[in-house]
Amino acid sequence: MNSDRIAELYRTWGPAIYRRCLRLLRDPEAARDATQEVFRKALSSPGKLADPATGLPFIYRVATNHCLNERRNAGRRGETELVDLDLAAILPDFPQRRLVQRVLSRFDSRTQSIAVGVLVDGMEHEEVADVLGISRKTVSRKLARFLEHARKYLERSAA
Amino acid sequence: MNHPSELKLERHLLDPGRSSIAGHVAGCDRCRERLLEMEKQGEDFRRFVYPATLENVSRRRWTPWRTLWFLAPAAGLAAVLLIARTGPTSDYIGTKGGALTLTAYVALPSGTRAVADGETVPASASLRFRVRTSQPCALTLLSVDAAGEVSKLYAQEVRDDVTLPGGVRLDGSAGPERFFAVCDPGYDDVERAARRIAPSVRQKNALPDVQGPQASLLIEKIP
Repeated sequence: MNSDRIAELYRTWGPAIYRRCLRLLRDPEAARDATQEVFRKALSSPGKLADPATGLPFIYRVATNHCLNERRNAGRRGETELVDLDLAAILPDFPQRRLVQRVLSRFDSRTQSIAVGVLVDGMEHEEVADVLGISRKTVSRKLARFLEHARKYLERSAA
Repeated sequence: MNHPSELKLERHLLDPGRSSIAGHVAGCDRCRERLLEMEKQGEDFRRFVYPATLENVSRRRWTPWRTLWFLAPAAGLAAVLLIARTGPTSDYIGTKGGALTLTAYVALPSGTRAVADGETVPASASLRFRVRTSQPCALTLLSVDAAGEVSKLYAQEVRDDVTLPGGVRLDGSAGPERFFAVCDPGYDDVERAARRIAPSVRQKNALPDVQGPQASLLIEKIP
């Protein structure tokens, strides 16, 4: 792929990638770095980027996975904590959002993507399933498991 | 009131003329406010992020691969058949590390392409590998799957930027498989270390107790 084409694709998809990273990382510098990495990864599938119908769900998935990994890695490295995900507004049952995030980090990356898609982004189960390339049933099952564990974890923490 | 998801708002921004949520947006202050915020973030990208990072994202591109993919087998060099036991499917593997990087390319009906770390590929796909090293290196490239099966794929001297000859063909079984490139290891040490990480092959991206630069890539084989 030549430089002009890469630049064109970056102009097209960069804003959406940057917004996604900003939403998940809540830090402009971290989002800027992540945007480059996500775009590089996305470039490995130029066919998907060429088609608007497949490009957006694709970059959404790649960006979500990358940024959730970044959050996890930042925690492991003991670096400055990234600002909390905006879970509290969507999960009124779970006012202790920091605890909810701790629960999130205990799950595999796919479950994290599902939980963030539904609980943070307000996506319908079917929409999450389309983006992740899995069945709606899997989305429901993993989300139910996540919420069940979150409740238990919070109950234990409160005790 | 149910509001459109972030993804639907992104679609709306990309093509407002064909938006399925235009009606909702027109009557929803909250969504219009969010769209304004998103537009501002997009503008920040165009003004500040894009000019500062374009050169960087353009640098890593692999143009000659499609051609090389078809030429290399003619070299007759070790078209290694990776008769994969119970293992995952692979596409490609990402790159890691400064001193040594590993990239994998998968041949698909749509063409040859690099595969991102953790991406899915057909279980019987063919792969080729490219390594880049900052110093001459006695390279070992191997793979390990979740069952602990280790396959030695290459052992050769490399320097600079090299496409490894031939390629590997996956065994057709589904599951995760991780590839490791290591410079100057003792092979037995590497093999032992690879077996040790097999139960956590998706998570472990480095071989423990192995000296020398290393890089790894994970693929998920699907039937």
